[in-house]
Amino acid sequence: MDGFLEFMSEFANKLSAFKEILSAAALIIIDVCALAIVAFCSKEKKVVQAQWSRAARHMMLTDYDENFAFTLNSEEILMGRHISVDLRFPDMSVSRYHAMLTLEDGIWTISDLDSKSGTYVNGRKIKQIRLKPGDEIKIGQKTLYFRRKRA
Amino acid sequence: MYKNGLSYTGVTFLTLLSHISMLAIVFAKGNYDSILAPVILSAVIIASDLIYFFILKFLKQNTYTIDFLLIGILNMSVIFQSCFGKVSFATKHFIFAILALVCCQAGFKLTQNHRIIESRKYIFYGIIGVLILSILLFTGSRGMWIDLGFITVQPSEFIKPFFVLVCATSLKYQQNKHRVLGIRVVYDNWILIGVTGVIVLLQWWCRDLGSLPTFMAVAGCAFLFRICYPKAKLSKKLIIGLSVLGAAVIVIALKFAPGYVQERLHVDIWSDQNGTGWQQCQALIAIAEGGWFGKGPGNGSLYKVPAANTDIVFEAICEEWGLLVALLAVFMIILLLASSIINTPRSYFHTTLATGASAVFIAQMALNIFGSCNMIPFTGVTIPFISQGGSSMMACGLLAGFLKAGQATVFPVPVRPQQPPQGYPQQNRRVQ
Repeated sequence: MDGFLEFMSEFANKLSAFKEILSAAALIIIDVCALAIVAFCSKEKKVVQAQWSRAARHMMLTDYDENFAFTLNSEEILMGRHISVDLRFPDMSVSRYHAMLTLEDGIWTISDLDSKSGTYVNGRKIKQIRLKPGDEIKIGQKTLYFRRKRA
Repeated sequence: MYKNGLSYTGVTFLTLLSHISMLAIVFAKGNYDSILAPVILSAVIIASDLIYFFILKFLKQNTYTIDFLLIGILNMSVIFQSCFGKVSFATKHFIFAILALVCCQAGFKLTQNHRIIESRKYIFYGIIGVLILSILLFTGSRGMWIDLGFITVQPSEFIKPFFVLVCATSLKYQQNKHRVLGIRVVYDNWILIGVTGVIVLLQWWCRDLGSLPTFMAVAGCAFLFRICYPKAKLSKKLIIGLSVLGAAVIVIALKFAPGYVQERLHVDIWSDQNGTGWQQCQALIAIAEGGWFGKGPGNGSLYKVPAANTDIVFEAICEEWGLLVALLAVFMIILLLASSIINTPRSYFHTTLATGASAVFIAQMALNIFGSCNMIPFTGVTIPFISQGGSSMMACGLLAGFLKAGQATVFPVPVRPQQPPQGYPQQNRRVQ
């Protein structure tokens, strides 16, 4: 034990010759460490994304008129005309807060939020309904298709 | 190999190396009587790192970013706290650091599934009520500390995480409007306004105006999220009206504030260096003396000033370790908050929770650092994870757990598959 402590104090004496270099090195290492952890976060993001799309059953919303596809990337998706919603349609036939998609245990549900023009699924006006792959959703004058992502 | 299938060898090695490089500075530049003190410090830090990395392997999570950043910050702060005045291991701070890690796990488990927690939200109103009652009954006349003999507890610190939880859980039923006296109201919003009001009144009564901006920041974030939620019925007029009302209340409150607050607002520390401005003058001089790389651990003189390891801890670190290390410590806490932007939360509940937690951290750090540097009035709040203080450490641990819940959630994948699509593919179908 004494030998070890003696060795350590000698080691500390030797280290004290490189004070400035040690300070700079420590700064760089802490910086690199912090940035490396955050950079690793993007790798983790892929894992989370893969797990999420398994939980969300690989579903997406598409609009063939305007040729766009919206990946469902959270548990609650708000659709409407207001600037703060998740899926925005700048169309006057759509209410500000029109409808909401929710995911629970792998089942997607659409619910109408007292919109003026109503929400239609497969041509039927609905208040709340479970969605099946291939369903057609009509919001205002917009027609969306709820379908599985292509592999 | 961790549970999410990624290998964390590089990150583990870098975290360990960053602590080792700091310990090397302690050995080289530190002020110690016998070599035993830094040896004990290094042994405990490295052993706790290794044990924590081993435990992490058994936790089932998707992301480990926050865990790695948290152990980095906490062991950094243990090294900082061990070196004030003289190198000696800060046992108390180390125990609270472990408790903060436990609290982080607890907060994570608590808020992981928002459907369960939203159905039992009234428990949190009860907890806040109990904490407020305990402040009113047990803290003596107008204090914030409960003295248990062997330890002192600050219940107002624990209100912060539960207030964030209340803000997030009350978001769920925004569509449930009731008609009261001809006005459509959402009960949850008014309960939240009531809770905020009670907390503000309590802070006013306790003369603890320092943590008032923290609560206001959380409440402000919560109400901003109400605008984005479906049919929250907080129209622009109401928002403008509420903010004008808030500004008016602040102006009136400052006009009729108690005497000591008025003094704090108009204080010129340099003209009264030996009186009220003494603490801050010493702190600012310490930053200048430390320079970029500091005097070396244990060589500072700021530890003689009261509250050197809580309120003016940023300056104490600047003096001993240098401004750059102190800024890096703050940068790591900001990265902890920023990591929830990379892995975005998947529900409104977790988004509100992450925003509230970030608001608490940012408000506290800004109040502490800018306050002690004489840019805004000096208040006695702590820097999360860096300052000494058990209640603050545990509350911040809970908040870090809430942040983790947003990004590390394991999503439930039901076993039974949904029925196969009928008539698929029908991509170009049109209903006339």
